[in-house]
Amino acid sequence: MAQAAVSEFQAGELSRHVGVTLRRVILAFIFAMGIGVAIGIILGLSRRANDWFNIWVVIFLNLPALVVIVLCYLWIGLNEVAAIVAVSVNKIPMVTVMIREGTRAMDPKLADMARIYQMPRIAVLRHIILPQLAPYLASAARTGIALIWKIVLVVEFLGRSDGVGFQIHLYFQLFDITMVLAYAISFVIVMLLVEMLLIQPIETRASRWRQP
Amino acid sequence: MIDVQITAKAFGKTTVLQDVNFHISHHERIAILGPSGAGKTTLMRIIAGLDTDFEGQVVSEARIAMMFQEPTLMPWRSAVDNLVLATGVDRERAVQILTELGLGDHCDHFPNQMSLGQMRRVSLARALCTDPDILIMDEPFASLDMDTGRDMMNLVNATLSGRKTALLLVTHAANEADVLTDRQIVLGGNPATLVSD
Repeated sequence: MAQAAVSEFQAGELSRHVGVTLRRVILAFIFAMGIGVAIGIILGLSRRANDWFNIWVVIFLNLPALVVIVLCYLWIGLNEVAAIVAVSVNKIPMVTVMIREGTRAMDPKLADMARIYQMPRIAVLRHIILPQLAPYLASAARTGIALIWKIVLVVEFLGRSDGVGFQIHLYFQLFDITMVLAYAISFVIVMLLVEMLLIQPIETRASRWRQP
Repeated sequence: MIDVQITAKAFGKTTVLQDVNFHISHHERIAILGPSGAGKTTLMRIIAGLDTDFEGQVVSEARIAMMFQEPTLMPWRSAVDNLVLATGVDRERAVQILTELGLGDHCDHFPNQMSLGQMRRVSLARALCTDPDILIMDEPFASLDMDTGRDMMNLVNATLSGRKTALLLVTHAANEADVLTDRQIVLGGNPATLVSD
């Protein structure tokens, strides 16, 4: 299997497909986190918004990933936009729920303090809200990456002509277990590197103030 | 400076304050006394503008600063940052006032590196660096041991005597009111109303 992976790498195929998948993961991650965090904060702060929107969160939370992917391909077309949207829509409700709970758990006394000293809204967001949400953001990011890369592979499997998912589909049809494992494990290594070199250092930096 | 006219304040069907009317003038030092649950903190929140759901009105022209029961600091920021980010004062002024309150060596310390008494002093520094017209203190010496509480009380007294800032002290300890204030408003009854002024 290692030999197959090295051979694919030397041919340039492995890095090309891993790169394409990684790009989709990053785009879907940014899209899902951005929208999920914004909706989560709004729902956490506003009871009325939550009453209205909660049912949609529940629906999208329970909608099978496969249904979302197929519908996106049917409505948007077999293209890159549909792939990214499909992955993001699968992840947004989870981020929303996590951030909503984090927003509800915020210390109301700090909000009072901000009101008393008339802190500007942007300062409240940056210095009061986001630091309190940091553990929830880290959690959402970690589970987000884990879920997104799984769904990206399914999206590629079903409707793209490049990426690790497409290659796994290709070698599945050829019943080539060695190549399926070569691509799958190569991508797992990439995701582990992302976790160790990017997510963990950011998390450590964000929680530095907790150290006595 | 501040005119308080509260007809009624209720939480659900329970009325906690009724017919509470008084006036706070410039430079006045007032204590609001009363037993636990008398509505002192609720009254203070209304005066500070943190609770607007009541019948009546509070007319205020004052720049208000507040010391909460808890220090209410941003734990992810150093002492000096807590002053700068919350109030918008420049760093130099923040360091100056922290030094004035005996925290010159703790400017870059995070709240979890300080004692409760030190955190309360940071909270006081944050309140004072806005040069407020009135400082509202909600049981600022609660949870402190006797010596630290006395030191803190003396510090507040000394710090305020050099300023024109009015004081509204919410407490249930008569000795704190005696030391720090010259007018005492007592809340009592159910729902609470002014028992004496």
